[in-house]
Amino acid sequence: MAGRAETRLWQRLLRNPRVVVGGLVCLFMVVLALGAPWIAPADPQAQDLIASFESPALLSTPADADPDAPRHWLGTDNLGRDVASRMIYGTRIALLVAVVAATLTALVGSLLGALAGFYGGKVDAVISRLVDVWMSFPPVLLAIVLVSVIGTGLWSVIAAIVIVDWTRFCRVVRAETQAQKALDYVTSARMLGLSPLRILASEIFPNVAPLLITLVTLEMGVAIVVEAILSFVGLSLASGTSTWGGMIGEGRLYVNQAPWLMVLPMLAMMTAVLGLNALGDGLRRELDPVVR
Amino acid sequence: MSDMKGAHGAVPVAAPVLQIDNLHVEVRQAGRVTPILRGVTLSVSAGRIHALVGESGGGKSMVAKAATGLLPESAVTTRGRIVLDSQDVTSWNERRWRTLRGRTVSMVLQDPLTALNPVRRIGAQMADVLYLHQGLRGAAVDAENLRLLEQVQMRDPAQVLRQYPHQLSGGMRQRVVIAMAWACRPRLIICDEPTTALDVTVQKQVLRLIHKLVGEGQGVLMVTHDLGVVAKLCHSMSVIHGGRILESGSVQDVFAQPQHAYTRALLAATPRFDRPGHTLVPVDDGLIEQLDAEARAYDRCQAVLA
Amino acid sequence: MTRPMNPIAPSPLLQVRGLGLSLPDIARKRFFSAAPLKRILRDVHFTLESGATLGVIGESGSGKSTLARALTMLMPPQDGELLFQGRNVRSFGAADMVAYRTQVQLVFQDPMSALNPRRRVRDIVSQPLRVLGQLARDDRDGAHAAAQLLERVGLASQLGGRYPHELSGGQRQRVGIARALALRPLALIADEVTSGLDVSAQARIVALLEQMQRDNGLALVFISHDLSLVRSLCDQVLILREGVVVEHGDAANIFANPRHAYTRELLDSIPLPEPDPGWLERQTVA
Repeated sequence: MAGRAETRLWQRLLRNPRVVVGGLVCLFMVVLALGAPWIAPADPQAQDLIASFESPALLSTPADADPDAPRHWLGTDNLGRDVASRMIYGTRIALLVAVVAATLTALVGSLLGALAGFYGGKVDAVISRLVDVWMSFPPVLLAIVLVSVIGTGLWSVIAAIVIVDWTRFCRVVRAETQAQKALDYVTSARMLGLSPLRILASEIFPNVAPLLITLVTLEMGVAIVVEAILSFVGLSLASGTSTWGGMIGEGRLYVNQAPWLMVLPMLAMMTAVLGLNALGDGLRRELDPVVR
Repeated sequence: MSDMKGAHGAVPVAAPVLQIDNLHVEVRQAGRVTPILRGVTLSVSAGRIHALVGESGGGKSMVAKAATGLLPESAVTTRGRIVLDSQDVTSWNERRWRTLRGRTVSMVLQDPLTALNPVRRIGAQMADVLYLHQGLRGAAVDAENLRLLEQVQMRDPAQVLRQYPHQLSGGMRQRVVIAMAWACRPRLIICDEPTTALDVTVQKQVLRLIHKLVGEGQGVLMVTHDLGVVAKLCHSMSVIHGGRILESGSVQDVFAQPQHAYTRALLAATPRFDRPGHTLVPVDDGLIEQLDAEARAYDRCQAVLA
Repeated sequence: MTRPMNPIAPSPLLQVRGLGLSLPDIARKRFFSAAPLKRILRDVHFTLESGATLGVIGESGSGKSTLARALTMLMPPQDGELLFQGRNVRSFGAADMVAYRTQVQLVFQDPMSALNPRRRVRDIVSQPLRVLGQLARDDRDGAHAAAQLLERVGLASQLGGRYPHELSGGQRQRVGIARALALRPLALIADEVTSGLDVSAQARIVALLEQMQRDNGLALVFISHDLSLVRSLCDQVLILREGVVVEHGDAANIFANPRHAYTRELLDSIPLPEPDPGWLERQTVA
């Protein structure tokens, strides 16, 4: 019986256009990220000043091009680095940040939000005041200050995102937990003598989960964008590493001569965020029995 | 429809306020076609209250929606017609319906709390209705508001106009909704379970009010599942199940001699205060299956005829 | 761990004396002080014998739902006595309270919120057994127990695989009752379980409750605003108005000879399914 329900789930997922399109985009990104060393046509750090500012080979090939020289399908940047390879390696950073930051943010925020929403009283008062104060700091400023203090690097970026964004999860999960707690099925569970943690986990969580799926995928999109902002400002990873944000920042300087340097990573970011959102929305629709 | 029964042409009968003839409505969604109204015929005469009785899913809400042009996008009228105040509104679009709603036909819904906007004062909401349909403004609106609330026997109407919906009791809110429904003296007022959510003492007051308010040229379509309300308030009735009208006639006749098994079943399932020993008999599953089978057979006939 | 059939419970089952309950009235709260208390229930008395049926009639604001929660100690009363089989419920410790709540079960009014919308019906119904470890050894997931309970309330066991929103209102209410019966309680408190249901679904629920009473000796507190239903189901009746008991006693007696004006007003307002054009204007002399 469970087996039949399982296959039906897979079939349903495959039939939902959001899941398919979003899933393919994410799968593509994962493949690029994991297989970067083999897929990338060149070393992203390799500079070739002679071949700098080559326009993307996809669009045009200069008639006098040397057939033996390596083809740069997406062109090269100001230092002659292959854009395609840089973007592929950039996918790694983007995905890593997206997944890790979003998961940690969700964990911290949801946990505190659930506790505040379920216990109410003093617990809620303390957590809510904490959230209020925390949210009064301008987020980007907070992230920048943080990174300046901790120092740059991948984990600083992730920490910055978590530290700024956990409040969003906390507020939303708290509200939803409060709403669910007021319903009679939770009262029934309490009357059976179930402990609060068990009620949160087995009764309330399934009803908050659809909301969480959406929030987590949204957060992944936010994480990618925040990382890009921090790279843009030069506060992300070391400038040698390829990140989409870094590429946008550098490309900004040459937007008149070589617009592709800025446009391509922006397109990559947009596709990634859209794909994640589509996947999240589709998953929520398929997994939530009530919506079905 | 059988209000005319026994008239024998002796009394000239005015055109009914609402006349629904052989209405067929189906819902087309995701490639599937589901008939929801199967040849519904009923009429509401001026000065009369007509009940539409049935259980959930029987189609009574759909009839109410059809009579106000509020059928969902996916619902399509395939046959039959609706005549409201002598106008054939069967295939009217939204724009034309808007000219009728409020002015010619209005609704009183079940839950007064959701029917009223919780963040606006009563006076403001009523003023909207008056401005929209009668173009009243300023002092004229205030005067009319007071008059309308007095008409529904509201104590201290001036105070109520300044209040918000949540400050009023359920019965008072329902009176406000009734006042708004009657504001423009429409020809047809559709009441969809107006007293189900109210206490029984308040229910009697509201029913008395509705009875009193039915004016000369007005008709009321009372959609309900409560046979007690039908018996005490309404003049004529139609019983609906599975989108088909199974029985109709004057309330006196139907209660005295119910012709259809389903009507008898509904009466047998209704608790009777005056017969405490009477066992409530739920409607027999076999009867429901038989009615469903009849509905399917009807659909097949329709498909052949079409 | 199987429990034996209910031993004959010592009567009376529940005794309520002078029960009073107040709740903070948030609407009247001032800035720095605690909200003043508003009396919801005042001086409620009644006795419920085992196997008896007590109807609690009241309109909105009468406190009847609060009474249901007070009886199960969800909202502990501030005043008065609540005795269960002679023992003082208000002084129960945690373990006694769990045991008390398995024996006096509450069925809620709104089945949409009373059933976890994201759990299948069979899991909802077998949950009490699972939580209290009362499932048979060969019935780990409670499917068998659930099927039996569903059949007892007249639902096909296949419905166990569905979610609450896939059932009708009457079916959902019966699932709530099935869950309440899982732990073989001695008494059931039904809080407006028939409101909002069609006459046919109502009739089924009433028939089910009567059957439970006959077959299992279940005591029943039936809270409703529908006097006709109460009359057909209950031998004793309690009429509440604004938290105060207005009449209490044998149902037949009270309905035949109402003492209080409020009772007469209630009786006057019941629309019988008998055509009677003069009823609307008529009022019995108070």
